[in-house]
Amino acid sequence: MDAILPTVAEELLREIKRNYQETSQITDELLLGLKFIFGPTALYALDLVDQRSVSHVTSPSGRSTFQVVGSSGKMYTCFASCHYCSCPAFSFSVLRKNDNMLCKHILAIYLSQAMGLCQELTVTDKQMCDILFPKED
Amino acid sequence: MPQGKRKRSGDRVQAFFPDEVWSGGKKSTGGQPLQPFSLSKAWKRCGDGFYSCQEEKAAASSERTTLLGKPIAHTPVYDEDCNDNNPARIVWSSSDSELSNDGSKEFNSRLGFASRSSRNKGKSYSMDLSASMKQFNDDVPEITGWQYECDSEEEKRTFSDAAESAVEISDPESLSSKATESQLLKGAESSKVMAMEIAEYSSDDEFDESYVPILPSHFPASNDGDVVSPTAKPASEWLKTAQVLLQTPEKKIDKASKTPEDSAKKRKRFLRGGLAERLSRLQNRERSAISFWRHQCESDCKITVGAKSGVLVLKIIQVHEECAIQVAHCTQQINDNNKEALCTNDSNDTSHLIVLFTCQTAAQLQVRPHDIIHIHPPWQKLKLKTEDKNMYIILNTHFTQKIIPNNNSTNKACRYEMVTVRRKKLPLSIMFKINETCHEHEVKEQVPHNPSVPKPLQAGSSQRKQSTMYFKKNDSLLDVVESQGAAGWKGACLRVVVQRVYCLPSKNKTGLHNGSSKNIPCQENKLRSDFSVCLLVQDAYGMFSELHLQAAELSVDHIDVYSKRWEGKTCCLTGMKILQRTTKGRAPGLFSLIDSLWPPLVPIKVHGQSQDQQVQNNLPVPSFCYVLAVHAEEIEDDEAEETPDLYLPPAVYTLRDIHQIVGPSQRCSFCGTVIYIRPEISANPAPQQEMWIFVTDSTLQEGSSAAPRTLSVCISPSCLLDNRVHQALCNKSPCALLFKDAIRENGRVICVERTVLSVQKPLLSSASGVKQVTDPVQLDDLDCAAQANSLCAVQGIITGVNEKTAYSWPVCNECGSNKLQRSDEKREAYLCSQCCQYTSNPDIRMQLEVFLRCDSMPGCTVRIKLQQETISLLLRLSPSVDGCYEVSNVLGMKVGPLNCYVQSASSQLGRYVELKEISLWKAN
Repeated sequence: MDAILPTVAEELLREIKRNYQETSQITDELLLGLKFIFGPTALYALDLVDQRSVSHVTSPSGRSTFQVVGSSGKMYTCFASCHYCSCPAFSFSVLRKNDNMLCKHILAIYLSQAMGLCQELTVTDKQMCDILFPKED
Repeated sequence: MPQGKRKRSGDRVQAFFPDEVWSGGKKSTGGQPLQPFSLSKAWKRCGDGFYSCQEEKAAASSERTTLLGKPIAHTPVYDEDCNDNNPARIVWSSSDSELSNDGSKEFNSRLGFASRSSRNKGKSYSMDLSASMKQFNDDVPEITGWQYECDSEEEKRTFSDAAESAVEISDPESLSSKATESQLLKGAESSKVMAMEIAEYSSDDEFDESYVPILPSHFPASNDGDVVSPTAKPASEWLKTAQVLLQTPEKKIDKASKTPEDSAKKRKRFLRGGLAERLSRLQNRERSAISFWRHQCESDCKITVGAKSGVLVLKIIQVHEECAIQVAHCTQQINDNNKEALCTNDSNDTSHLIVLFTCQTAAQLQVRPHDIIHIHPPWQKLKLKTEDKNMYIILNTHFTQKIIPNNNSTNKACRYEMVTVRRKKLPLSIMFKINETCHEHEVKEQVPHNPSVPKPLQAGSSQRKQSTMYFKKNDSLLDVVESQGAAGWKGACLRVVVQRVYCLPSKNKTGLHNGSSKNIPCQENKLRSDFSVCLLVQDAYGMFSELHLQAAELSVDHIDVYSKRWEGKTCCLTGMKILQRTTKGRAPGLFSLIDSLWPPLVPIKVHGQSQDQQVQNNLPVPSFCYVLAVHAEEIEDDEAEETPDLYLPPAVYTLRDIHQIVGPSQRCSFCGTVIYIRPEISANPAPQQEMWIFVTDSTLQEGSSAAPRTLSVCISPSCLLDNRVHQALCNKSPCALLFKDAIRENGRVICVERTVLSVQKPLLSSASGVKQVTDPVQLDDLDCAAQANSLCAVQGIITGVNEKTAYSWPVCNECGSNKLQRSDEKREAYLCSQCCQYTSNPDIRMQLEVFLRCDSMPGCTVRIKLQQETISLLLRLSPSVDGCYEVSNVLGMKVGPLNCYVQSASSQLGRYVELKEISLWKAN
């Protein structure tokens, strides 16, 4: 049987989007639902949304990706077509320990999308390349 | 006044307050009056009082039934009539007369004190006490009847029975019974409060008055003041719990029963009024509700839930774990009482449910297949639509209880048995598709409500008006103009794509502005009020039109909001007025922007051809364009049909690309870090004048190519700067700006009308793959290609001094003002007219222009106006006589490299370059 949690999370996010579009608000119930599903991640993701930390980067080739300014000010790149984030929490909590579906950055991306709070940014293909394959410093 | 009262009470205190009870078992207070202080203290802990006096009660319990009928009750009397569905009865002593005086009023006033924090509780108790003290002064308590609602008819009856039978009131009794009563009232009240709070996030509408009361298992004192409040429920229930406690006094401290968010202890400051702050508040509230609920649960494992609405009774079929959440497939145990809990709208297949538990709840429950669980509200229900059926997911299952049919001892045994649960890994390859919801919900992106921007001008304010439904949609601007006439039309519906949003300064609102970058003298006030917000739109045939927006409160400063609202969107125009038909010759600026949007990326329709015919390449750029006036309300979002996406977003170039790829007179967009601006601008609003902004980025700084290391950008007054950009430029520290649709011209860039500047978050510009520019910024060495209004670095040997322009002057060493006057009173002292202080050692400022011989520019005269620091450096070794220096002392000295602004450069024979030394902006 398929995992149920992603479907639940998806539906919850849709619900949030609907709710926000209709009322420009998110009900307490949905917020608590978010916290229930995502645990403390939800709180920090909402904080990132409050800070407008998410930008959606697109390039003429049609590639797109997300960049999230973490609470420390560090920039994390998240892919648009699968769950990936360059933050340490993702590799530890999501990949290794497997006790979280997402890191706060990816959740913040979903929430920002649901609320239309992504900053849109257009870059050249070359720049997109640099984002997706950053050179080691 | 309480004095007499206390006297009387002196000899017959029978209430046992914790302090006293522990000091000597059955303490008789003798003639010792109770001090108000100790009373109030005792009140605070009256819960313990009952807790501890239960021991006594055990002894007295045999008398209870007999007491029931007695006219005078000493303490609350428990009726141990163990009829299961008949809750414990309570017999009230006569002291209740306090309430009876004006029961409803006092009752209400207590509500205000019903607080969940133990500290406030203390306060409210003492308030009660003083109230009761007052009451004691009434010699003849009157019973006026019961005006408040009791939780059950039964209790009501008991109350009144007791009241009627109260013939005589003895103070100590009234005191003790008052304790019980206020406790109970408070309990009942706070249960209401809590129920209300919980109801706020309760998911089901059936949550109602009959909500399962939460039974306190420990009172604050036994719980070291933990914030668990003694709350809830009908008095009868409460007493029942107390009895249960009495019989099973062992206290269990279960680490695992800590509430879920213990880990989230880290206090973090969230944005005020933000969602995170809200959730954190909700979370705290929920946490205390949970911990309270768990306490009561532990004390009373056998809550009969059958009749309580909102409680889900489920049987677990299978459990597995996904990411620290346990997923339990359950069937609903339907019985008549809880049937309605879920099946509100769907009567079919709701019996199969999926229940999620957080790891904390799961650890406590240790659910296994075949377990029966009760989920108390508030839980939350989520409906999942799968292809064949609807599935219900139950979330927020914090109030879940496992029901074990056996008695308590086996219960414990099962509880700590290890349960192994299969874990499922979740795929990372699946993104949540939150946008693919039902279409009626699909609304374009939204931005938060900006109160200063009128609603229709904000993103997300989709106005789906009737017009777009009733009018035939037309996608040809020319058709509409032809059929509706040029004078203005209503009732048609033209579908267009908004390509750009910008502000135009407008002397006459209808006027067009050509592409020249000549100074347009304009006053600030005029500038701020006299402008148009414009939308450059394109129809399906590729035809462009510039819409001048007409709305009440437009502001240049909100151009980003307008941009977000409309740019890239497909809209329907339901009315407009044609202002002008213009051509490339008349409006080169407009057409340079149109040219940059040509050719379209997707095939466009061609008049006179069938629509499915693919368009040939090399379509000519439209040679004319309509300028239209449109009311903001006449632009409606069009979401109905699939339209080819004509929108061509501005491609953002790196600065190196601007130098190397972008051709002359082309519109281009780029992001750059501003390192210098000339002339300086002040924060005060001033008429916008032509200015030069010098930008660079990492592609210029790090590249070893031939491209210059900086780019000069001329901002013509016709390019309106919004306030944020203006402020950023005033700060004199490097800031990242996005230049949208600027014009490339002769190695530099000009921002004219229809160019939009916006401040980028510094980190976002590095997001674009261009790293943040790091200090120190490198400039190009001065060479023959140097142009006026550019930056360069120069080094050379001083060959001459411009003596005419060399001079020095004193400035105040305190405030830097040059308004110094020779002091009349003190010799050699100056009076600063700005800070009104005497100074005998004013700083000396100097101006010095020197001629340089540069190796990079042989045979060229370079004149440079030096900055103070450089001058001081040059002169530091020269002997000074009364402020005068010998020219010969500086000749032959080497200076540089100095960062310079090229004021003028002649390219004729006998080349001559005039420089001014500058300081580049540095990050603070």
